[in-house]
Amino acid sequence: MSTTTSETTAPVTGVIPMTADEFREAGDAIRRAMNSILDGKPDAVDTALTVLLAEGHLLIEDVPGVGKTVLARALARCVDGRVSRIQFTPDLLPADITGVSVYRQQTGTFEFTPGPVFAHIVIGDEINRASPKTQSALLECMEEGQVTVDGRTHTLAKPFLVVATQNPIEMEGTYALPEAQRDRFMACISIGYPAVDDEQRMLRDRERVSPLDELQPVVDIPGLARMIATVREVYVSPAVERYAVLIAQATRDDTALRLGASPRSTLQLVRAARARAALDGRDFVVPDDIDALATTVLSHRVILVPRAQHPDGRPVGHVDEVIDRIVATTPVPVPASDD
Amino acid sequence: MTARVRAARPAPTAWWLSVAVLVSLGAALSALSVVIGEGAWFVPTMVTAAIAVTVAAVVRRLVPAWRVFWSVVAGAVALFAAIVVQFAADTALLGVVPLPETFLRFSLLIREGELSIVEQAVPAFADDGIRFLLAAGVGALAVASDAVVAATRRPALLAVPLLALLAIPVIVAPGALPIVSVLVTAAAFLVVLALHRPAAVGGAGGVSRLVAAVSAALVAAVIVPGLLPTAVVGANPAGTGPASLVTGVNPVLELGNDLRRSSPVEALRYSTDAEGGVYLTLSHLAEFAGQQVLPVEFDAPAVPLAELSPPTWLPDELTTGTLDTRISLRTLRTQWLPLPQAPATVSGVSGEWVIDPAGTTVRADSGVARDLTYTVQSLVAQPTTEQLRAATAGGDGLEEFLQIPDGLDPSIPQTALEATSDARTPYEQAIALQRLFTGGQFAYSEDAPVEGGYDGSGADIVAQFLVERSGYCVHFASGMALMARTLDIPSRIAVGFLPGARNPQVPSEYIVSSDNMHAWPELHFDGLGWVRFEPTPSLGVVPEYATDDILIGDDFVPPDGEAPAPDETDPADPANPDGDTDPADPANPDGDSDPDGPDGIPDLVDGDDVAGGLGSDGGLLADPVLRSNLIVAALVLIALALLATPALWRASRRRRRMRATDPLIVWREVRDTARDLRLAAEPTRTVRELGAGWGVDIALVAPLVTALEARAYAGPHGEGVVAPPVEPVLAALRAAVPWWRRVLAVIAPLSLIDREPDDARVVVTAP
Repeated sequence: MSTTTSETTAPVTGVIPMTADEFREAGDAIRRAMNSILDGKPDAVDTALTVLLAEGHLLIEDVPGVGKTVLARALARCVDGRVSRIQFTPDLLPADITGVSVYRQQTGTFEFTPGPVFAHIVIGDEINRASPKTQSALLECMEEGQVTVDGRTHTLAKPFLVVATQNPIEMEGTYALPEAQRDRFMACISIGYPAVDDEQRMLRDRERVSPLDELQPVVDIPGLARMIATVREVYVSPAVERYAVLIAQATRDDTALRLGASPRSTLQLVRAARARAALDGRDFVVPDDIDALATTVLSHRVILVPRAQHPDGRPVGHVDEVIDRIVATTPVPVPASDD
Repeated sequence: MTARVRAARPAPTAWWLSVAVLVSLGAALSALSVVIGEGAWFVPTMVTAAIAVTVAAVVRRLVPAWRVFWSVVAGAVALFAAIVVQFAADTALLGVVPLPETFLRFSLLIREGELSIVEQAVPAFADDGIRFLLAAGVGALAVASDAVVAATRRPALLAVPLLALLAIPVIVAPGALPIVSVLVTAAAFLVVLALHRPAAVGGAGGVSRLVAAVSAALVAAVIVPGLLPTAVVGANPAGTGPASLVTGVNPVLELGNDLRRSSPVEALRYSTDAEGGVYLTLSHLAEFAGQQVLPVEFDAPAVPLAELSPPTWLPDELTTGTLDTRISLRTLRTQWLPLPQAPATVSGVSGEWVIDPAGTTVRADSGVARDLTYTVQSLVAQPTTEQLRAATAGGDGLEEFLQIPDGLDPSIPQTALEATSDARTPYEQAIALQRLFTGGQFAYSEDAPVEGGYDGSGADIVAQFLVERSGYCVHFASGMALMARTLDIPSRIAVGFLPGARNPQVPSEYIVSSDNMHAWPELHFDGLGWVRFEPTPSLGVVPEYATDDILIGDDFVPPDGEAPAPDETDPADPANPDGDTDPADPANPDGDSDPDGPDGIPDLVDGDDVAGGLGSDGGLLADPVLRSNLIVAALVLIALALLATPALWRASRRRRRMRATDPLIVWREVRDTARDLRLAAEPTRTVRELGAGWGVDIALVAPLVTALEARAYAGPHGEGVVAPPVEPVLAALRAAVPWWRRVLAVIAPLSLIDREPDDARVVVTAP
């Protein structure tokens, strides 16, 4: 398995990047549309959009009923592309995802029937309910952007986004994603319970009709490709690169963490920062982009030391707190001047 | 990727840090053992400091906010209580709560301590005053050091109190600094630095900083005392004013150091009718201990000083007249009043004094004599050579002056016997002994005893001195006195001043400097009393009766004859006598047959060849008071310049930056200004976070932040971005803090010493 194919950021051939204004307009349109579905969750929406534009994949981890699937479907509805949804169950087979070759008696040949993974946006609901074998089939697609069945390689659609949801409690009969698999997702978010007012408004809005059904696509696939191309053009200065590396290094040296961030996560952190900068109307990344995304991008990849092993024997807190602390104590590089 | 499981490393705790601070201070304090000899002072001082620091550390851990402030307050209160309990429990309510009387006691203790420091010679006895000053001073240092180390990111500042403590023995007793104390102090200091190292820092940078800090501290410890002018620090251990000459209970102890001063100070002046001036005596030493000769012990009531009882040792028939001497103390601070030989009355002095039973020396009952002017009428008595030749050694009640210490090196009586083999009478023996020293075999040197390790005056020293044959007055006086005792001649050592140099402006006035401190032996002859001899080559005035021509058997040379001492050819000695003129000689009142001049004292006017004499550089600087004032003024100027240096440096840096248009440079100025004003400016915060965190109008800062971000992070697009006007931002920053922080920003700009972490300064270039 090669990890290089999907990591390169070769220019999207034949796609003209948007101007800053066009980009902001398109980004705002998507945000507006999604925020109309998910009341009071602008952060989750922003992160989802950032991941989409940064060509990553999104893992949503939360208790049932807070809108994981709604967020995934809202994102899919905003984009006028092929959307498929896979409900992961213990008996799901890899072929149910990738597709199978079927023998056609009329032609006497095997014909490939594409699975649900052949879509622009794939929603994988409750991914931890499938067997590891099936999980890894999806993860390989995410990684390589192509599917090989019976020795024949089929390229997946572009852009390609997997939004997987996972239920952290009710673990009976589930196969939690191993750390190595979690590392494939650019970001992991949880949505959280809505505020009182938001929840009340939700009651009223959904009384008669599901707003999701009324949502109209605001961007088509060529438009999305142009946005992605724009993100790729965003400039990352050496100082910002160093900042991202310093943070990643710090996670590897921190006594509260048993497993630090991988080099892949540094790459994805910078890529996500590009998307955030573009959404902010900038054509360059600033350290604040890194700061804002560090927790979202890094938290699900690192592992805390067990409390009993911590040098002080004190509770190490939530992993987000550890990442926040690392970000707060990492010096921010400023290019040297001739002072 | 593998999960790395790290070994559990105990996190440094504040407790250990406080303990390490205490240990380092204790080690530095132990170096004072060479300055403060007797008395239990170390343990009580450290216990006091430990109590204060412990309370401070506990409070720092307990209180939720303002930790440093409350811990310092608590530490100070605990320190105060500990001192009250130790030194003034009887004046305080329940032994702890201070009453007005307690503070009165404190002021008395402070005064007592100051006086002790001035009066006592090294090593001093740790009386209540010294112990009080030590406990209060070290306790305060401990609380402050603990707070600085615990609360700031600069634990290296601990070096300041440590060096201050170590500097005391370096200055007061040069060369005696115990190396173990220094090593333990340095080790404890390193431990503090190591414990303090925060987890986020570290690596090679941390180690190199540590090495640099320690090196700087050691270099400073070596260099600083050398740079200080000795006239300022050496003479003034008590820190009570300009350069002065201080003599303690035993004036002989510091005599060598006084002689070795690089710039002598004026000790006193006197006017007298005696031709050539007079010897002035401070005190008499008689008991030969191992390394030192101790003063004559006597117990007498303190009385107002007026009429002294006639000297019991001086037979009336010898007295030939009286002599008036008006003495004015300049920088001299002494327990013993300088008096000419055989004083009869002293006028012009108030207060209570202790007079020795023989009526020759006077000691202050408490405190020191300073800034006194008094007149002494003394008896003039001069034995003739015939009387001396006929006299027998000894007298009644002089056992004290014949005592020979146990375990005396046999070479001393041996040498005495050999030198006096031809002598027939005690007097001839004395002259022979004197000639042993002045005959050319012995050399005068103020430094040789220090280098040879026999700088002292006791019996042990004498034996080595006889081998090395080089020393200064103390050695010659001790040597002759001790050897005289082995020949059963009662002897003592007088410590005082040579006649000094004649003041060219005022007739009959003499100026005595610290260089003129002197020691000489006095031998007792039955019926004649104490007779002064001068065994020190090339120094002092040899009494005419003691010129060694006397020794030439029956060929007696009359007193008026030419009888130059072998030492008189030294032209560099300001007090070099001609050898034939007793300064107080009444037997030769009507003139001097000496063809070399009317006196043996060179005048300052034509004294170009005078070396080491006071005022030899002439002019304004001849006045020691003026000179010390000039030194003080210069020091004040230097201090002011040092204080102003950071502000000037900072201002020049600001001007340079404000001329720039590069947002990177302008931003440095903004951030440093915030740092100076003690606003948050950590390098771990992004530009936006900083701009938003200062409490100034965000709209004011935003243009600068935008410009800086473009310049710093937008690559080629950001080049050429020009910074917006920055003065409003700086003004807003200043307006956002209280006035005292603005003052701090000017006099102590933190940005000058705060270095950014190396990571943040790396020049990052595009690959």
